[in-house]
Amino acid sequence: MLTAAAVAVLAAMAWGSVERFPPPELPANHPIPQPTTPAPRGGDLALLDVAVLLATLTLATLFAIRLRNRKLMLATMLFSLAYLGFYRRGCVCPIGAIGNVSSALAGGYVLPVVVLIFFLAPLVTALVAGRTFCASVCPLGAIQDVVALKPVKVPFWLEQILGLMAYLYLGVAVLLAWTGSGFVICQYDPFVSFFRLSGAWNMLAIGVALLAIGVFFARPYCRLLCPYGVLLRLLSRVSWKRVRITPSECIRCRLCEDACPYGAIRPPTDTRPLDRRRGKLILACLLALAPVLTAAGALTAHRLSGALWQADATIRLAQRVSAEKAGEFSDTTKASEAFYRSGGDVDALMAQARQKQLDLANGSTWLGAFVGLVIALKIIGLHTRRRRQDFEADPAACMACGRCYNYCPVHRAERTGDYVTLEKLRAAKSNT
Amino acid sequence: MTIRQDTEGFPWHKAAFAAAAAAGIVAAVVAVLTGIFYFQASQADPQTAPHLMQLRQQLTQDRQDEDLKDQIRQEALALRLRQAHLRQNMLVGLWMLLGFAGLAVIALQVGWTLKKETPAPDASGEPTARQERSTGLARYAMIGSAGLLLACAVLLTLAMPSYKPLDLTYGTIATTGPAATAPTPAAHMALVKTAPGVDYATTQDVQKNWPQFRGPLGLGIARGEYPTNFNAKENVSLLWKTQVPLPGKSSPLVWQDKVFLTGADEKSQELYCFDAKSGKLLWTGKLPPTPKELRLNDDTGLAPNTPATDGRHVFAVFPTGDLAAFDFEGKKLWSRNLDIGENFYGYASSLAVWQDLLIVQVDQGEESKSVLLGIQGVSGAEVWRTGRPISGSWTSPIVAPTPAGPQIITAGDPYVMAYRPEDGKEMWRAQRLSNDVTPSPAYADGLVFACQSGSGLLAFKTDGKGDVSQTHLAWQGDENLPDIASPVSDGEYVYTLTSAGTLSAYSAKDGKKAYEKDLEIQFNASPVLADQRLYLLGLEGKMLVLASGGEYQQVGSGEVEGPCYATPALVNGRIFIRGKDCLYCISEEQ
Repeated sequence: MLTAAAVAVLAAMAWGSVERFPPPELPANHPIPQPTTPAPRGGDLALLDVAVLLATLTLATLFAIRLRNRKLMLATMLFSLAYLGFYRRGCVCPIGAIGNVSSALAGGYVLPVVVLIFFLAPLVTALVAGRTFCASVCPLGAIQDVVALKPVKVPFWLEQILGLMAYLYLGVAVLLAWTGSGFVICQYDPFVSFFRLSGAWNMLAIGVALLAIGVFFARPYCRLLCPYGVLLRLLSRVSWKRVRITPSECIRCRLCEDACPYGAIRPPTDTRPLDRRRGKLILACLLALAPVLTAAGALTAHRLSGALWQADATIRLAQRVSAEKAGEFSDTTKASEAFYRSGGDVDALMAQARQKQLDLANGSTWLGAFVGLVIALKIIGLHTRRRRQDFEADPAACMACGRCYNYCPVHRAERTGDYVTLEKLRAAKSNT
Repeated sequence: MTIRQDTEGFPWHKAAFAAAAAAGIVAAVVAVLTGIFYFQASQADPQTAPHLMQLRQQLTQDRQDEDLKDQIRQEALALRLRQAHLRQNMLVGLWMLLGFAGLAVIALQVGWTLKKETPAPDASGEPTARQERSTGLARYAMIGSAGLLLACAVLLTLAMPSYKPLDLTYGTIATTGPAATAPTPAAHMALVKTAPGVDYATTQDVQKNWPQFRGPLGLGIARGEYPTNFNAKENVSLLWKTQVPLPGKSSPLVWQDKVFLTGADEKSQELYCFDAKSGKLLWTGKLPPTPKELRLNDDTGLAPNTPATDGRHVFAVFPTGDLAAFDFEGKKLWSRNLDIGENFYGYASSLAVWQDLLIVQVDQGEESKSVLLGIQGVSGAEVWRTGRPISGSWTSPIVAPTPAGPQIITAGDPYVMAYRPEDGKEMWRAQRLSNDVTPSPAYADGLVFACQSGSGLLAFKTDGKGDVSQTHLAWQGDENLPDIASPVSDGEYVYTLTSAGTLSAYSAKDGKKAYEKDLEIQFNASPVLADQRLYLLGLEGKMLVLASGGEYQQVGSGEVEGPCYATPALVNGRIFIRGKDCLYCISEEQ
């Protein structure tokens, strides 16, 4: 109720707002070229975007957890795709906000409040109700969801390994934003070309490829690459509420086994008692391995930090200017030309570039340590047996799309009032 | 158990698939048309249209042609309008493509949904056991990833044992200067001998000035007479005293009427030029410090390296490895970074000069990294670079005028080494030193003197070739050896001074100790010989003036406000002493 009221107030404030910088008056038939990157929104229009985000998050949570209605979730998803995707052209988005927040934390960058809200609101929602943002609000997820026509099951081990890319991507994105080298998440958003109907050919090709893969491997970007998904996964593990396949009891009919296109449904676990002594020994070894892997990751990433130099414009310019001064090139680039014409101090440029290289090297050490630690924790997690008596959705992997609801006879019985089929299934189960 | 869906009635899923196919075909057609618009729009680009480019080219030959300018404007406007129109069409096409593609996808989704069978348990096996197997495979896969990470770490460590994140291609950047490419040593020598354009100070000029650490050729010997008694605190024989903006432990160098000194802090590295007559600060040359993780001892400080001059240019280096050349008016000619690696106490070697070559000794933590460089002073181009089998040192090179020709003499752990100044080639080496070598070598009358507190005072003959460790050691002294101050010799005696204040004099010919005296003063600065007198500057600012020779005899003393780390410069009757935050000029002239 409170959220709805807040949303209504924000939306009302945005009503009747005008652009801060309207275009000049030109002849009627003069085609005005539109910038491909969306212009910053004026104060009230920005509030409208926040209102829409909060509204869709609230509705998604309501539809997924309370009402358990897949159709309403689908409608919310399509609305989000239209508004946040095509109308707002994918900006501002919580995924890209990772770069803004990292830059702000590093200092020297003022984080707009709207961006902060976009970053925090889905995370707060994940703490409350799991990944409802992914299912019904995220435009990148929505465009992939639409093309998930014939999802096939991917081996669990493969998904675990490929899923490490998301952690690496998150680390690299934070590092590059922190050092002021760039916002790579926004730069390499694979679907923004569709939203803006414009973009580099390579990014368009990557987007098309991901969508093509998404026909058979549902939401590949979300499951394997999304850096924001790393944060959502972490918070969803401890969420207050979460998607449950069955609204009440699980009769273990197994009808939901293949329901999830994302492979997030986990069966009941083995009830045989564990060898505790062996388990403790394994845990001790794995805990001892964790700092070794962290150190190995740190060392590896530090040695390979040179790979990130080309991501930084200052370093690229310094390398180019240095090469031109040494006579390796007879011409100049636009960047070097602009540098010379503006009277740039070469020594100062070199000093800045060296500082950036040092920052990237130091940051890479942390990045590598992070990845090493993630691998160690994943190994520990895979060795930890969680007790499950029912078929459950893994809160970290579950996108809260609600596809599994209609597979559950208990859910269908409660919605339709038809308990006959449910009793037949219960009886068939108890006879086996 | 499978329950098939009732398939009686109209096959709506087929209708959905048919709609998807139709929408897909329309989308494909629209895609082709949009592609054509895109191609046409790219052809109508005013920046690349061939005819327009041609007209622009014509305009460069006749800039007053108004008709041509009008024609260019008209054509550019027409192209822009056409391009904008085509882009508009392309935009419509893209929206239509999006619409029909979206329709096709939605129709496919509807079709699949309608066609879907009712759910049934997975027939491939019992789910718990299947999940256990999957999890087991995932464990192995993740352990494999961990193994790969460990292997990468080991391989990279072996392949790059001391990785430096700094790109070495930022080396020589000549902001001005005639030479852009490095001459070969032979070409450089030919240039020096034959070309009138290459200019450097003569030997006589070098001897008349104080162009590097410990004076002409780095030998610690000054010409002329100097005050024997002074007191800067009471203005006795004090010509001037001037503030030095930033701290440092480098020694002053003097060329004619200019005094040069360096200072640094974390933010700035500076070279100062003072007027030798008045102490007025004439200019400050700045060199932005290369940001790097410096491993520095507090005793070393940020400006321990004494600059050098060839009489035309002045060169400065700092522990960051930043090296620069300035002219005498303060204009920076070139700069570079030496990429200093490991150096336990911090890079503290001073520069040396021979003719127009700047000699730079860069001894680092690893033998593979230590080098001796010969850099052309005017351009910054490397004439030669010689690797050194030295793990680390804090000494400075000298240029010894031996009977066989000049030799660059260096000292480090474990060698005393000599090089040819023309091409940097090693002439001889003697393995006698060990551990931290800080005192720089000295030379007199065909003998090189090197010392280190744990290795002894060693005198080597300079006419050897190759490894002369066993063959060319003239003599060795083993007592009261200095750890910081460099020895000095006038050919008759060799004088050494320990930090604790023990002065020893040895016969230069046979190493016999003449005397030993505990001065009860701490010393960092190296002793200087001038006019048969020995000038010793103590850490607290007290200077002792002794008569040179085989007997201890004090002939005078002086005082400035300490601490005084740097070796004084004695030139043209003036003593330049770096004290606490200031520079003193001691002279008897009014």
